[in-house]
Amino acid sequence: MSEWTGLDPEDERLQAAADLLLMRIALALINDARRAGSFGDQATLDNRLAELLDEFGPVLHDPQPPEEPAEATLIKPDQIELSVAHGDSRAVFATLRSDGILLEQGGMVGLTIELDPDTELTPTQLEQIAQTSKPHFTGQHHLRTLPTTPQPNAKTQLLAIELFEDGLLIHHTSNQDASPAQETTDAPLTWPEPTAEIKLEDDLGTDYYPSGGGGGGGVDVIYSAPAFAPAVPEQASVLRIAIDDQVTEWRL
Amino acid sequence: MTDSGDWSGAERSYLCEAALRLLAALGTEPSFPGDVAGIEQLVSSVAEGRPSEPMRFAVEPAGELPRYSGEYGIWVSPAADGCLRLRHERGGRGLSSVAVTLRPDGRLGEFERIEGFGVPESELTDQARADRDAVGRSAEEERAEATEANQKFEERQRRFRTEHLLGTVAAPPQDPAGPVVSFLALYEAGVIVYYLVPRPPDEDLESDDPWAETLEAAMMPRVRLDDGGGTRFELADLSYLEANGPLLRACQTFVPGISRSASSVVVNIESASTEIEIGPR
Repeated sequence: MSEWTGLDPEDERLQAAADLLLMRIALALINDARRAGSFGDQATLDNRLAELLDEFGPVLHDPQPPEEPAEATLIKPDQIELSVAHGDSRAVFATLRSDGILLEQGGMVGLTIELDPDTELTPTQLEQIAQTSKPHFTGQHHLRTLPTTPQPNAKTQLLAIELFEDGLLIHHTSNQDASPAQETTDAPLTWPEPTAEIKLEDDLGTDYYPSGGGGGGGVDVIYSAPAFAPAVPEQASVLRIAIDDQVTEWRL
Repeated sequence: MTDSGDWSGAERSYLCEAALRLLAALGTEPSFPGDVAGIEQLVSSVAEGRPSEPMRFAVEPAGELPRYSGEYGIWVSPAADGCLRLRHERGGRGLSSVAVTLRPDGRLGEFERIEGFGVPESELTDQARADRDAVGRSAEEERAEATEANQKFEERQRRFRTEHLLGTVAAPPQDPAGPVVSFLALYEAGVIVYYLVPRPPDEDLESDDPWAETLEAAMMPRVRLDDGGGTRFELADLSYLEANGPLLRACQTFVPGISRSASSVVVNIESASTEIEIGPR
C-alpha cells in the first residue's frame, strides 16, 4: 500500500490512468469551448463526451470497467464538472472553467451495499445499523465547559469537557511516539495514533454512545475530541470519565 | 519513459493543468505561436488560478538545451506544426523534468522524462553550466531553510507535550450570538485558546470569488490575548476542529505562556472581550 495515497498499487495505477483520461477529455472540451465561445448545452456535452470516450478508450486494463465510465455536467455556460470512474466505486473529478482553470479537483469513493433478503449481516453491519437508532450529537447549543487539572503520570491528558444540549465533547491530548525529524518534504506526514479508550458514566446510570468528533496530529503531540450522546442529564450530580484507566470525576 | 515513483502521476497532472490554461488562452487562433515572442505573449494572457498557488511559466527557445531555474514551474517552447512543448521542472529536486507536446486541438503527445540536459558534460553550454550551478546553490539554501523551519516547528511542538501542561480554565458565560471562548489550555511556554463560532448563514458564505475561503475566514477570527503583564503573544498555529456543524469549533495557539504573575487573562475575539480567571499555577 502506498504510504502517500493509502491505495494499493493497482488502485493507484487505475487512479492515475483515470486522472489522465479526465485531463485528455478536459483538453478536448476546452478546445471546443475556445472555438465556440462556451461549452454549449448539456446535450452537446453528452454527445461530445461519448465521442471522446470512443476516441480515448476506457481506463486501461480496468478489471472492473464501470457502466458509466465518465460524466460531464454543465454548471454554467463557462463551467463544467467532469468525472471519470475507475476500479471499485471510485472516481476522479474536476470542475473546469472555460479559461482553462481547474476550480476543484479530487477523488471520491462510493459505497453501495446491495442486500439480498437471504444475506446474513455481519456483527459489524448489525452494530452500524443499531447505531442509527442511538442518540446523535450535533453540537448545536453549547452549555458550559468543565476544565481539568493535569493527571500525574497519565499518558493521555484530559483537557476539558464541553457540555452541549445534545451531548458532550471530551478533549484530550497525548504525546506522539518519538519520530525522526522530517528533513525533507519527501517524507509522508505522520498520522496520529489511535485515540485512547474512554469510558463515561454519571450517577444516574445514563448510557452514553460515541457520536463523532475529531482530532489532529503533529510531530510531537496528538489531540482528540470524541463526541458522545446523549447530553448529561440536568439531574446528574456526578460525571466520571476514565481514559486508559485514569479516572477523573466532576461534581456537577 | 519510465513511469514509476510517487511523483510521475502528479507531474503529468500538473503539465495537463498548464496545458488547459495555455490552450484556453489561444482563443480562436488555429495554432500556437511558432516563435519565442509569440509564446511570451500567449503566456502573458493565461488566466490566473488560485492566488496562493500561482503557476509559473517561462519561455525557452526550441532546439536548445533545456533550461533549469530551481523553481517549480512550466517551461514553454515552440514545436513543429503549430504545437507547443511544455516541460515541468519540479524545482528543488535537481535537474529533472517531464515534458509533453500539446497540439492546438488539445491532443497530447507522449510524456517524456528528461534527466539533466540530455547531453554529455563536454557538450554543456555556458548557460547550462550556469543553470546547474544556480540550481545547486538554490537546493542548498532550500535545505538549510527547511532544516531551520523543521527545527522551529519541532521546538514549538515540544512546548505542547503533556509534561508541560499546567492545566485548563473554562471561560465564563458569553453572548452565544457571537464567538465564544470555551476554555484555555495553559502550558509552561504557550497557551491554546479553544473557541466556538456560530456558523454564518449560507448566503453569507457565498462569494463571487471562486477562491474565497469564507468558511475558513469565519472560523479564524482575530484573537488577541492580554495577561496584564505586557506579554507579546505570537500566533503559532491554527487548527480547524469542526467545520460542518451549526457551531464551528477551532483553536489558536500562542507563544509564550501566560505570565506566572497573571491572575487573569483577557481574550479578545474580534470586538468581543472576555476576562478569564487563571488562578495560581
